[in-house]
Amino acid sequence: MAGTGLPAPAADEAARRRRVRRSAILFGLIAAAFYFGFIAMSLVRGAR
Amino acid sequence: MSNAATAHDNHSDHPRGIWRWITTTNHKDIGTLYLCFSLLMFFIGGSFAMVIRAELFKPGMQFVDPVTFNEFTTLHALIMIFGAIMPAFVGLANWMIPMMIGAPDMALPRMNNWSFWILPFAFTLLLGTMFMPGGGPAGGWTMYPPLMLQTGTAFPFVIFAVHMMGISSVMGAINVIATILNLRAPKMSLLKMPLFVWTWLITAYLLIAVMPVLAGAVTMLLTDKYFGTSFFSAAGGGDPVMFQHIFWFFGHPEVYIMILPAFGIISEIIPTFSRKPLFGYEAMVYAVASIAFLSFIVWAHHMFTVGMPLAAQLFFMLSTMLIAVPTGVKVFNWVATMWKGSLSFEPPMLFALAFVFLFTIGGFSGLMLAMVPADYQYQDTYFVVAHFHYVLVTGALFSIMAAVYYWLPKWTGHMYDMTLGKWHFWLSTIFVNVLFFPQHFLGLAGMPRRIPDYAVQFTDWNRVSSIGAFGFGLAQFLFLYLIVRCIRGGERAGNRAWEGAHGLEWELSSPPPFHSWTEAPSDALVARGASH
Repeated sequence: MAGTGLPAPAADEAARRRRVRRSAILFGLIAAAFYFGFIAMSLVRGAR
Repeated sequence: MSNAATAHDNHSDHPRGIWRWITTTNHKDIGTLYLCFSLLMFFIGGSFAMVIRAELFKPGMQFVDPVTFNEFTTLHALIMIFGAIMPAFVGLANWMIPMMIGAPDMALPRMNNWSFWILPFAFTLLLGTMFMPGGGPAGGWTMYPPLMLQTGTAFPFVIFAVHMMGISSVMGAINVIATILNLRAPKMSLLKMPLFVWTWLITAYLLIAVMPVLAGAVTMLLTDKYFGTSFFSAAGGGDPVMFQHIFWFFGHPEVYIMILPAFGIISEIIPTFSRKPLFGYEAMVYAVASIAFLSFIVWAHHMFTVGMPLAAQLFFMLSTMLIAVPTGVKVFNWVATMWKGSLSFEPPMLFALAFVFLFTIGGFSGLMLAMVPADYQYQDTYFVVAHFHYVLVTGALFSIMAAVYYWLPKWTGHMYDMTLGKWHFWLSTIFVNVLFFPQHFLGLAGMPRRIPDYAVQFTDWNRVSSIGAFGFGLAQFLFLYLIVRCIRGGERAGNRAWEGAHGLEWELSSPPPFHSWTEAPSDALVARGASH
């Protein structure tokens, strides 16, 4: 297999893990916002 | 974390047997699990379709009572959409995205395992509802209240199953986004990514935005039934039409969730078998993004007949028609890629070509349905059934078959029997048209959908359609046989199984190593792979 042959430096790897975790949390929160947002919207509409 | 990561990285000592499949965090294993699961669901959902078509072979009641018929139509749709088509695309994403972007695995491997293993429980629960008092869900896959609220004991189980499917999809989507945004090879910029990766990135955004909306809608159904709320109950001051708005805010992007990865697959296959780079790569990316955006502002075209202001009807009609523009760009670019190419017609290309022709037919009938006055006539007839089956069977399903035929040599390390593959293609393509084309005529003549019996004037085309269904169903056993034979052995496939193939996945061995790219691919490899 052709490659650069250079393992990723540990600092890069840690930064990448942080970025992955951050993206997962961000998109999880967005999904939760859509879920609760639509229920809240329906509640507000029902209360009118 | 670091210990777990080390154990994960050490791929020579992964467990064997069934334990390997239960505990796996490897993207290829999970991709295989998704694909096998979707094939199983395809045959289960297909067997429901066979019962439906057998019942409709002639007027009158033959095999099942009307309630069971409605259960079969409902479960056929739920299983095919959430159990067959979507998991198949997630399986393809799992297998191919890390290999295509130069990553060793998906970004969140343990969540990947969870995403898959939720599904068998969800679908066992869903199928199990058929044996509960009062039977399974029979109100259609759209689950409209108040009809859906009449479901018996099965109701909370169906809602729980839908929630589990949603959680699985959202976790899968988060994983795809995190992988694509963080694990690409250093020199692979976004506009160097393969089209399949691009379409999946956009699909994942759609999933994150709309699956929670479906979950919210069915949660509200649950509270209406058991906790005394009246979100959708007119008697309590609620609005049943609001459910339709919320459902279709999810439902229309859902259609694109099932077709955008198909666009990506076709955009990989046509250049390979035309031996030319893809025509208009950037235009293709922007077209996919435009289609995804438009999918959020067209939902009410599914419900013109419930009544809405004229301005809303005009808006939803015109915005729906606007989707034809980016879709036309895509079809034009696929044709332009083939123009003056050195074409060959192996099974993946045959399925890709059939996709372009037949999906376009589904697109045209979609345009007819987008016109408000015409939709008043077509609403809830077999014309709608014909339309969405052209989109989802000859569109989504054919693209999945094309993808399997394209990447199977890479996955297994074996070439498959080309003649058998061509037989499967021709039988599927002929019978699928015998199955669904007459349904346009039935719909235009006024035959309603979701009925187990019909007036005698619809008999002839129903018979033709049922014969097509049986032929199409039987042809799929050839597909199964071909896959099993290819897994068990055959002529060795080279790393680049197809002469015209480009992309990082073809630089790996066939079958690929347990972890795809343990070292980032070199800049030269990335540049060679991205020669679109």
